Amino acid sequence: MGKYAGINNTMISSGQCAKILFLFALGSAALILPTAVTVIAKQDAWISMLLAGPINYFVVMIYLALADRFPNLTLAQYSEKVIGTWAGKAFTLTFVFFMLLLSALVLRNISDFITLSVLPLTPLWFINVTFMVVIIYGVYLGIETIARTGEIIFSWGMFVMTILVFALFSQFNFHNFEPFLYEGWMRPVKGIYPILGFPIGEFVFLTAILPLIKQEDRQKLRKHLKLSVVLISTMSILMVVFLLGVMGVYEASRSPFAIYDMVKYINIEEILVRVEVLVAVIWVGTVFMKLALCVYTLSVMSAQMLKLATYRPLVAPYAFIIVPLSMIVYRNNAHANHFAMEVWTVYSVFQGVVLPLGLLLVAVIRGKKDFSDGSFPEPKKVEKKAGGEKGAGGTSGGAAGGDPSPA
Amino acid sequence: MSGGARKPRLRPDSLGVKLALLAVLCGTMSLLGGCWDQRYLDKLGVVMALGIDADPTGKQEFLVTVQVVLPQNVAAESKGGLGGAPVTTFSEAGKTLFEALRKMSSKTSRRLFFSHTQLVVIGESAARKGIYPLVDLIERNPDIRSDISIVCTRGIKAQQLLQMTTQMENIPVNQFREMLDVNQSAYGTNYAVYVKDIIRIRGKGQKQAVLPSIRADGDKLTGRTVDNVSQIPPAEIPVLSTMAVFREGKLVDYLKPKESRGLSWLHDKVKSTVINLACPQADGYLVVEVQEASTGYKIKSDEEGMPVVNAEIRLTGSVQEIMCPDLDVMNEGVLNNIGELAAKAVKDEAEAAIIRLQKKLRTDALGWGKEIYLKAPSIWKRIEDDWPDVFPRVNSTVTCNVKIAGSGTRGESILK
Amino acid sequence: MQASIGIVLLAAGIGTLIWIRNGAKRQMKERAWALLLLAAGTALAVCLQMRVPVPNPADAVSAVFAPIYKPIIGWIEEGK
Repeated sequence: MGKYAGINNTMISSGQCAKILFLFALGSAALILPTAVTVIAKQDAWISMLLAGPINYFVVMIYLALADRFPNLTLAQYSEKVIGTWAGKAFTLTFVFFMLLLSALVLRNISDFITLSVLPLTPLWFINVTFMVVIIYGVYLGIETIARTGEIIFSWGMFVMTILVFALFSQFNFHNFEPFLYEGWMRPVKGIYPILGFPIGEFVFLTAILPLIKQEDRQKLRKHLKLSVVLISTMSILMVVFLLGVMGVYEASRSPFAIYDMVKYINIEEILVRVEVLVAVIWVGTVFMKLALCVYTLSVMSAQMLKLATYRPLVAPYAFIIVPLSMIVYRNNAHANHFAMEVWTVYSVFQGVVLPLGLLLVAVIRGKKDFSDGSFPEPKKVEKKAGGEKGAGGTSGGAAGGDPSPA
Repeated sequence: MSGGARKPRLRPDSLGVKLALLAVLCGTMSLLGGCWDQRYLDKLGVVMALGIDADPTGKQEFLVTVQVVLPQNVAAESKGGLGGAPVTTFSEAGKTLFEALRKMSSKTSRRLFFSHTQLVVIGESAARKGIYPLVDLIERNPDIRSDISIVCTRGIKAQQLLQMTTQMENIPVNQFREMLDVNQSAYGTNYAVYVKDIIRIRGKGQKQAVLPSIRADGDKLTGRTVDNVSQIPPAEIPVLSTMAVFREGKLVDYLKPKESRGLSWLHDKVKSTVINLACPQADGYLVVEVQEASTGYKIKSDEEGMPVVNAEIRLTGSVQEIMCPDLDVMNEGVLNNIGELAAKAVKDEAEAAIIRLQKKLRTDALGWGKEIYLKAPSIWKRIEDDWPDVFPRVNSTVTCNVKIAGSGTRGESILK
Repeated sequence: MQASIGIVLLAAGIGTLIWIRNGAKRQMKERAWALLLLAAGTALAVCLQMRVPVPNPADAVSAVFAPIYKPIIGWIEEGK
């Protein structure tokens, strides 16, 4: 850790942004989504995944449109500009609650998984605390560190997934997909419902990340994000296809962690056996990324809402809240199931799609664009900022001009 | 922060901060995760097989037997000395499986460890009461894997089967398990059924379960001792019998060998087998060895809208033993003739299986419901609710196509 | 039980005092908010330990969105 480590790293490339988007989507989606969709759509679950791809893209477009209008500002900042200071703060407050709840839920998800499958006797709070210690450190170091970690996890994840896919080829059975559309087209359409909740509604974290992309990479951003969305769809479809092909509808809808159970069946000549822990490791990696991004977005948004100089002091306190919150939020597995599959989608779509869309419309109507150097946070620097408070209004100097750090 | 900013109070490279960090790291290291879940290897009793019978005293529901490896004896045997029995069993009665397993802790000195369990043996008495409740623990518990073999016994209790010593394999479970694979690839009257298959049966289609069964031949008393394996042949050996058929999870009956192989044909589970045929022109028999087999189903619907199941079996084989004179296997016509005879034999076996299962036992162990659901869903929607009544009346045809590739490494037989 | 809570509060109090005293004037605002959140988190953890029934935010969300998600779930479940 160098002298000013983590302070000056606010620029990520658009490739990194695309990769962290992919890891975020895969974080929860790989864990619980296949079962959720299979329970509703049965053997046509792969069609649901296919239909969710364009919706995914549409939602990312909303954030890109907002980012085009306010290239250097995050949601917390431009909401104040669009609908006024206090309404903007209230708006951001809802997002803060959303992200807080989301972090607690994601943490609870992964510690549930570890408790059920790998370490049954270890108390829940210990796993939570261990995880959050690492997350605090990661978020403290800043977005560039998180993005670089994401790149590493991305490559490893793809590598492991490819191996697993090839290892399961021998057990694939096409008959599991019949009868095609047994109950008509409505089944796969209904199956989209869980996908809207996680991950699509949760992509709102992008609004906090997009302003941090390097200036030179902004043109490539659209293309990279398109690629990322395509990759997300492909991986989800591939996983659900393999899940259905190897295990069949009935067995796949019985297990809460269906992909894990599917990987248990890999058996190549008795040599490549018991590789399910590899999948567990990759899962922990992707969920770590998702959690880190959620906590980062949470801290940055609250710091911007409260007009603080830096988000760093808030990270550890938020972790202190998230750990007990994650133990409270689900009473038992049945409640967890009910909440995640039924209520969460509505909340998440409301926060992630409806509210930003509303903000975009208001911004368009009121003709608001702001290229200000919203490099958060406005440090009351004596040096060059004349008229301190609201980021150098009008200078589209990007990060090079002003103080670059959400440090 | 670019240079020129104020110096932060708590600089990361000052001594105090470094020491504090070190202290915190050492502190967290002492709370190593996983300590709660530690399991020492020499405190584990590795369970190789699980056996379930109905409780003979009638007071409890089940008598559960586990076969646990004794590693010190296995090692001694492989060094040449006879170290004693390589496994031991514990039995306990209980109303449920899990209860019985935990009650065994009054008899064992080690915690039972189930991750290496390879076989589930269901005794005949427990099988008649129903096998689906027995599978629930295996599915639900994260330790026990679902791709383990499951067999049923015939004429002996699961407890006795697990107490038998075997000669070919040190650990008896390996012998039972490998027997299934060997039979499936050599004779085809049995095939391996895994717990995951039983789980998957329960989806749509109302398929009924079929399990291979094992019986014991020989002297039961000696079978439990090490003396059993020091004779040639052993005093008691396990023998694979035929497939056992279930209805709604309860054992109904065992098939005859011919019907059992017919069922294997229909389920496409035969890897290789031999078909005995009477020679066309003389007294004696010839044998066709089947090298490849595959079965496909087509569902058609007849005038009343009822489904008609057409099974199509394709085989490739070669003549491997000729025990009669006057058979010119270098003549293509003769080979075709033999092919037709083989096809008829296989068709007879398949039809025997169908008649037994459809008309006499009235259980859909053939999986036709599932086939109709997959291939003709519109018909299935209509007959789904009445399937147990409709099934015995479903018409079927079996066609068989045999291709004889050759006659081994010789042409004509030495019998002229 | 009371002893452990007492110790926690004591440690928290001492830490707060030190932190406030050492902080430069510019960092006061951030530290204030951070302290607020820390206090909330500690309170939550203590409540959890003492088994005080804490209102569950998941229930709050369920209650707020009930009129929207219940009909949707009804529509999804009808064919199953």
